[in-house]
Amino acid sequence: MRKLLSSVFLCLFLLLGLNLFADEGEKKHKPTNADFGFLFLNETSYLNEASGNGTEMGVGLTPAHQARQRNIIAAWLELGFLTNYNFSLGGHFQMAVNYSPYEGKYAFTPTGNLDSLNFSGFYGLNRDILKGSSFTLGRFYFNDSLGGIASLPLDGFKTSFLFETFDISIASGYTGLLLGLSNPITLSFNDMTRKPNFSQYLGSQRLIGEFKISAPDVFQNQKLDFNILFQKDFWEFFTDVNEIGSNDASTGNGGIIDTVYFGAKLSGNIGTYFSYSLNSYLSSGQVTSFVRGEYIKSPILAGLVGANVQGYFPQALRSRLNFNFKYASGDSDYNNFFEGNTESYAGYFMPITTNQREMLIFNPIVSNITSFKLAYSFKPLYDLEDIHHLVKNFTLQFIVKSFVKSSKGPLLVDGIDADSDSVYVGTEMNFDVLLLSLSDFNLGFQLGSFIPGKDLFLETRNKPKTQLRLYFALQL
Amino acid sequence: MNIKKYLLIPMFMAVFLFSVSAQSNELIDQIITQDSARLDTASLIILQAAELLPLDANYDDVFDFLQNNKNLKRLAKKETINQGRLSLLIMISFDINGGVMYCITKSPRYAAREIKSLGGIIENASPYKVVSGQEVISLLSWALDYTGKGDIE
Repeated sequence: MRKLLSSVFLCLFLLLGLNLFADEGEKKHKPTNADFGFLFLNETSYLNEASGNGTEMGVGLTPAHQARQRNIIAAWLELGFLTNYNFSLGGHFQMAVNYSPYEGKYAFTPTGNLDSLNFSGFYGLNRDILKGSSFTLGRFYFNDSLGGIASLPLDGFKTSFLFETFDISIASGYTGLLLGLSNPITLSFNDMTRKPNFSQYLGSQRLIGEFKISAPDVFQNQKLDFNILFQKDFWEFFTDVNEIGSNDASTGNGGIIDTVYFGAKLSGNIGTYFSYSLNSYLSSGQVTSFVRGEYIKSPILAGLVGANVQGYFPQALRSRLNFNFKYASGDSDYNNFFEGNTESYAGYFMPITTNQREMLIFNPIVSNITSFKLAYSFKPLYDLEDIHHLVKNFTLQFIVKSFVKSSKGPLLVDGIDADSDSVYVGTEMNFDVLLLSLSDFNLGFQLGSFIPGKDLFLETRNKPKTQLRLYFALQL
Repeated sequence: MNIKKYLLIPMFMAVFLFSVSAQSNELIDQIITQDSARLDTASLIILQAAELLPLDANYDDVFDFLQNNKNLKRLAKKETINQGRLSLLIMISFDINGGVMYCITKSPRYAAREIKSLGGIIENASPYKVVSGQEVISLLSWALDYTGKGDIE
């Protein structure tokens, strides 16, 4: 196996070597539109917590006292043919190594996925009404058009139509064929546990789809987007789930959650230096809940509201100022983060995926949480004369982000006192230094400190946590 | 998106024609009709626009220039220009800085990647892609705009 892998890598590097300096001769056949590349990423971090034993771990908080290294290799290939068509193939492999000083143990976690395997085409029609269209079939990377609640590969299709004043796009795909170890979906108990059967090797059994309409210039360069996003749960065909009408709450099974999200987003510029975006999602659907002694399907009524304002001041050392607010609804009658509704409507806003790490230490699922973020960055060397272009983008950034619970319901965060009524979760401060920022190479480090809310966290877990992260990424 | 290219080309064309109005219209007419752009025509237009060759330069001057430039020497014997060669010619003619791999290799592949990262190429940055005369003009217009050499004084 090792020989096989070595041979594959050797061949890839030889191919790459040939391609690095490639300037092919006049070929007899018509040249194709082909290209491939690699990404290498390494990050090493150390987390220190003033107290705590680091044996438990929630989704939002990394374990205490831990050294961690993450190495990723990604590769992609694109083949264009017949002018309008493209074949795309890409994947990544990640090896994470965790070291716990208390236990003196190393833990290796390999993950990986086939990120793209698709066939696409595009047509520039230049007609009076329809200006063009495109399609993709196969595995492609999907991001919800408003951003923030779904970001993952899908097996399916997407198509878009470009009209004179607006665009329409439709996408749909299945997530059950993704590899389980890198499953980014965290909607339900079943998504988190993937019980021991064949599905533990595969991702969440869900169908996701989106219809989007976008008007790029609705008035004075302001952009307006609407979308309808849905996800349908198919776990009941692959594992035992809590039956509707059953009153046995001790099965250890999870339930079913189907959701629909109606989204709207307005974005644009305010004067010369500022831009903004306002977005909201209204979530509907149904979720299995244990209400008054039996499992029922509770209707979901939840919401997400976000606001973002950014200022860019090129004359002031290329400064950027950013304020971000996000509110994701919760529900006080929940007794558990997943499927925990106990009365009437289920009010937890549940995003489909939670693979976005915005802060260094604390990144809770955007559910039952309200956050305020302020960030400032500048490039002190950018305008200096006689400075080498490789270091021009040296950037310093400060970020402060505070979190409060949107309701008194539970969070999926380790170390929280379940009996506490406090809603203040904590504040994280990050100091980022981007030493080199080039089109193909990034090198930097981050220092972060998370100060948990003293009244919300258990006494053994309410001390500040600090983390240092070093990273580089190279694209070949 | 390829679709956007069709919308951007007329805009780039306007900027380009405005900024290099002194350049031979005949040469521009010639390259715009080429489905697979010729390297000599493209090089002449680009080197003139970058003010590295005078407006009365001919194809022999282009050949000499390419031959005498250590990073462009490899292009001197080619007939057609692809996306990689075009990107390399633009990067060197307009003295655009690149990333680590471009600095090391000065190759068409990384020149195309660099221009894509700067926004000059919207779709696939394959260095082997055949480019039309219109695409040469479009990328040249982008370079004039990016470097500020197309600004009207």
